[in-house]
Amino acid sequence: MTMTTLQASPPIVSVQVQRPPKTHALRKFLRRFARNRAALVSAIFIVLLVLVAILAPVIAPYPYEKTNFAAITVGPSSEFLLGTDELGRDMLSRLIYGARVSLFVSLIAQFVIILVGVPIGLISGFYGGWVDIAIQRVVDTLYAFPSLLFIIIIMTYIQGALSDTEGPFAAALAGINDSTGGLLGVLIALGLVFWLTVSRIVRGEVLALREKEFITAARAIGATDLQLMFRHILPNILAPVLVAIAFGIPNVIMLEAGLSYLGLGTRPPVPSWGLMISEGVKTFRSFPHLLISPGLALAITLLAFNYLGDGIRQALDPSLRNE
Amino acid sequence: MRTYILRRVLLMIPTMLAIFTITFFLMHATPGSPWDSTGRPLPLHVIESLNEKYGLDKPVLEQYFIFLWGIISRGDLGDSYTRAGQSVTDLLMQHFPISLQLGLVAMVFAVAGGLTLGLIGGIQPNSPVDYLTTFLSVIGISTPSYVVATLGVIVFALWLNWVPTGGWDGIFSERAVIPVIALGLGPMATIARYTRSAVVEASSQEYVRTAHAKGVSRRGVNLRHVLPNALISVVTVSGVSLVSVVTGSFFVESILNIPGIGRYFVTSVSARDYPVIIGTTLLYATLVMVMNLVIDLAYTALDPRIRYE
Amino acid sequence: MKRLSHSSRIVLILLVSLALCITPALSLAQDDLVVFRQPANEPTGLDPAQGGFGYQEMFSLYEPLVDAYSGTEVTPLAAEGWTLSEDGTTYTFTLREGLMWSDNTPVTAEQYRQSFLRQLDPATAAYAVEEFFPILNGQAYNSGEITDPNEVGISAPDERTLVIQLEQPTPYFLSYLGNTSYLPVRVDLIEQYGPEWMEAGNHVGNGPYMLTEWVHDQRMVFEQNPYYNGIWKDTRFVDRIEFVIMADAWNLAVPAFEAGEVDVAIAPASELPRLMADPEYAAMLTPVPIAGSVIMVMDTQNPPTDNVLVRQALSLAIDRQTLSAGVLRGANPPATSFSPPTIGSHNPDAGFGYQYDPALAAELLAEAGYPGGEGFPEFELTFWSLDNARLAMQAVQAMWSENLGINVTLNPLEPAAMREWRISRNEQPFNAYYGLQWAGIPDASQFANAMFDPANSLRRSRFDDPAYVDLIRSALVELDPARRTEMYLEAEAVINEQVPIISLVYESQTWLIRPNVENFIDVTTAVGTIFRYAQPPGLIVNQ
Repeated sequence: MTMTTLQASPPIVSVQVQRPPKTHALRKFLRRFARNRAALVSAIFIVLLVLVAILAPVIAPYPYEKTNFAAITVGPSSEFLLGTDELGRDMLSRLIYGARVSLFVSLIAQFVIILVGVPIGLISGFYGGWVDIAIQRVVDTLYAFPSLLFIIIIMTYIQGALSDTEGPFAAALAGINDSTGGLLGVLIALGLVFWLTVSRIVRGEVLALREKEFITAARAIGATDLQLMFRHILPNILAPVLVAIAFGIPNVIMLEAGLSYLGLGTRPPVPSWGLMISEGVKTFRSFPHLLISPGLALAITLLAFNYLGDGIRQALDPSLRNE
Repeated sequence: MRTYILRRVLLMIPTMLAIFTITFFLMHATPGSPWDSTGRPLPLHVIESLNEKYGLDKPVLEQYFIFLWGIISRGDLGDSYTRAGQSVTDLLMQHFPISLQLGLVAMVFAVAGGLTLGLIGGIQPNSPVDYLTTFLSVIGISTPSYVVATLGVIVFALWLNWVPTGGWDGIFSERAVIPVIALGLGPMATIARYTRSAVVEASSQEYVRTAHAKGVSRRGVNLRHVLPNALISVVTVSGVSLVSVVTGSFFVESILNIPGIGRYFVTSVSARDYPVIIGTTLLYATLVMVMNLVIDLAYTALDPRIRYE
Repeated sequence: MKRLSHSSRIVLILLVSLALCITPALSLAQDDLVVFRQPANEPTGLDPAQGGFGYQEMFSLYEPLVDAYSGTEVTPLAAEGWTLSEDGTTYTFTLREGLMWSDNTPVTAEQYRQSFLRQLDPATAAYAVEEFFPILNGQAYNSGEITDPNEVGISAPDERTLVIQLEQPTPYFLSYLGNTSYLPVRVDLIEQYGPEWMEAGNHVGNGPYMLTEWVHDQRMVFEQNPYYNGIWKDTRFVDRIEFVIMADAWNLAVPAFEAGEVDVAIAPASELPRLMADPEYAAMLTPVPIAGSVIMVMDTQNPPTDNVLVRQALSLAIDRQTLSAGVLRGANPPATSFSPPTIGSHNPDAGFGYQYDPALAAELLAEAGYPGGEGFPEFELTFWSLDNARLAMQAVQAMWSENLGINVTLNPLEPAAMREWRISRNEQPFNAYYGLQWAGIPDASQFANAMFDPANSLRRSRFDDPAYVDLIRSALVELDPARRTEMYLEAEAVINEQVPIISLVYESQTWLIRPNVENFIDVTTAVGTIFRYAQPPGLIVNQ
């Protein structure tokens, strides 16, 4: 079952990073990164977008939920730069607030993914043996699970459970849910599905690093397993993880759009780009402006993240250095 | 080699069991019942007698073992709740082949297009052609399939009148054009990206430079040395995409009215049609595992250094 | 399939040529068949005991005893007539002579009896079994209190006579008889084929059309039933009905209509402005009212809505005109009373809850102790997360915020989860939720009794006014139609004043119908749209 591009996050081509001398690493990275103009422009765009999202209440001309029943689905004008939606709400304001939700969701989801995927991948690769086998069996099983189905079930479960259970824990979760516009389910579901890819990448990297000299040396001077994993190995596998994040964010934004199409997105009237697109698609022939602006915003943002990911990868990957 | 394949196949059994178990308990824990989908709320006593009729009044654990035993002893996945008189097996047999055909054609389109775009771009990295192909593939990745499908209908069916707005007439009918494009665009873009970076990487390798130095023509180098290397990562990416494409897409199938299996992944969950949820999940899992095995075997064919014991 | 006799073919061809002069739009296949193509969702089945079928399919394949939908009166269909005993409890139906099933076997009264008993059989778990409870011992048989079907008040003394005894006089029972649940089925074939009795080739019906092809999720084809002997026999106009099955007929039918792939389509609200702007399509739009209301149910025993002033304020603060004409594009008429105009209890003159008066609303809310919305408790509005509900609930949220200064939380639920949530609200308190109330039959009891009788298994707003409950219970069994209507009007006035449930807009469908299709296809409206594929008897040219 596809959300074709959404779900098929193929194993990211493994990046072999030799251990760079630490002091110059960052400067070198930045210099190489800046040489890639598309990536640089993308990075600037993303920074601006994040600023817009943070400053949404200041920038947006209207509150996102402000309806104007006298001006329903009017086209772009000087009063409403991008027109209004089916309840007479300003599209530009909704787009700005929508950036907030979409970026917030993808960042949190990435955070969850890293939080789960990296330690599991580390442990699996570092210890090997039956630990590795056990973890890999679990990963294989979850890989074979249709992720859209998994997400829908988890979201419905959470949605239903939150509105019915009581108690301090449920109340805390409900609080998170409210502050994310009802997207807690999306966050949990995405985290549960996408950590697989990250953990696989990390495991592969660790397997390659485990027998390297500096690890053996550290072990010889009495470093504990935890120190080895987090102080010596982790810094050396950050690069592929960073690339995975850059490529993972578009995945999450797209998936949120797909879920909105199924009616499982944000809690109205909170806007998200995915929601705006899925509503716009249904009414495109009557009101094309409802699809065009969020569609373009999403496409440009995804483009930027993709170029950013490429840029990071090229800047980190020595084998691509002479491009 | 044979023992390796056998071991992989045997390993699928516990995985399937685990997937079945997770799905079963997850779907029963999800609020909502399969009945009462017709708009008017059903009286409670009717819901109770329906539960009784379909054995949903028993404890969940008991239902689990009944269901499991049905699969093991008779290969029976039960009957759909929302499709009167149809067994889940019938339903899969009827709708999966349609998604499979569409998916295979879409994949051919994706691999052909993706390889071409990727090669064109990768051979001349950072040239204007490269920028153009990269831009195209990023657009392909960043457009949701339902936007592609909707715009496809509007442009090809309603404006140009080239094809009908939807439906299914077999894979060789004109109706298959829009779904193939909508399904294939994403994988094509992904394949193009991976091909490009594999080609760039391979071109910088020692042996390719040696071949150049020996005076082998550019095209000769590309065909003999660069392409096979690029193929390995393309096989991996295509394998992953293939599974998701042949199991159909909810969006493409709903918008283009294709009677494939893809929309059942979603509608069965919305309708709480438990047997169909299980059936589609197991189908998907089987395909993923078989495909993984095929990919691993393909590696050995492409790279003689890889051997499985 | 055997074709029609020679003479009827000539009649048909004549009709076809007549139609051709006026209807270039209808598609004609090679052998001059009139083909009508209609969008449809994949039916769950064709079993009258289950839900999830289209009325259109069911009434083409089966014929009930009476026609409860074609007009305001119930008229004979498979029955040529009936008598009612003095005490109002025993109906005696006489079947038309020569009625045949599509496998050329006669239709008997005993088959109707078996079909009704099958609905009551607890093992069938029939969806609309409550429609059979007025029958003597019906409920007892269904609950297992009695097990002998002969004790149920249905008997078939001879081939053409069916006697139904009722528990008590039930004025609306005849309407039930015209409903899908009272359609006859071939119990012998259900036993023979098992669940596959509904597939093409196995299926046998007594309706004017028969199922000749059903490719699941793609198409369903009906052709004229050659053995049909009922009242539509000579006026059937369409030879072949092709149901184009769509994954999502609601959104896909209009593009298919524009591309010329179907002959009718229901237009969703969002398409209306565009279609109306095009003179060609504007002429094809036909609004069809349906006996249903889009409602918001409030808990009348849970604060703040236990206070009638709050409920009145909430209702008065909703601008239904804007909701209807603006947000919903005029697709649904604004509600002016709890029940819709097609239902006898519709009473827009009574009560003041259905005006739009923000000033009065604010005043009432202040009187209830929440001036300007101050101190108004947390209020959650639950609805299923589908397009129209999302739009309407966001609009209501905005109107309440604007006019009353209260902020309500929207709680969208996935539809299946919403159903379970709603059932669990029988015991638990709630604030308000969104719903639809459709009339299964065009009777006032479908609104008043179905929603407010405390004995009903799905209690709605816990509105337990004893005087009101007495009123609707006696109205239910009142035999004098005029008095009955009067009582329901009186009951409706109570609801319009007390507003335990708010009606927002009325259900309606806006059909796109190709020119001249309506000239020979009778669009029948009461609880929905049913195409008869035939001229109404008496209007036909060649008789």
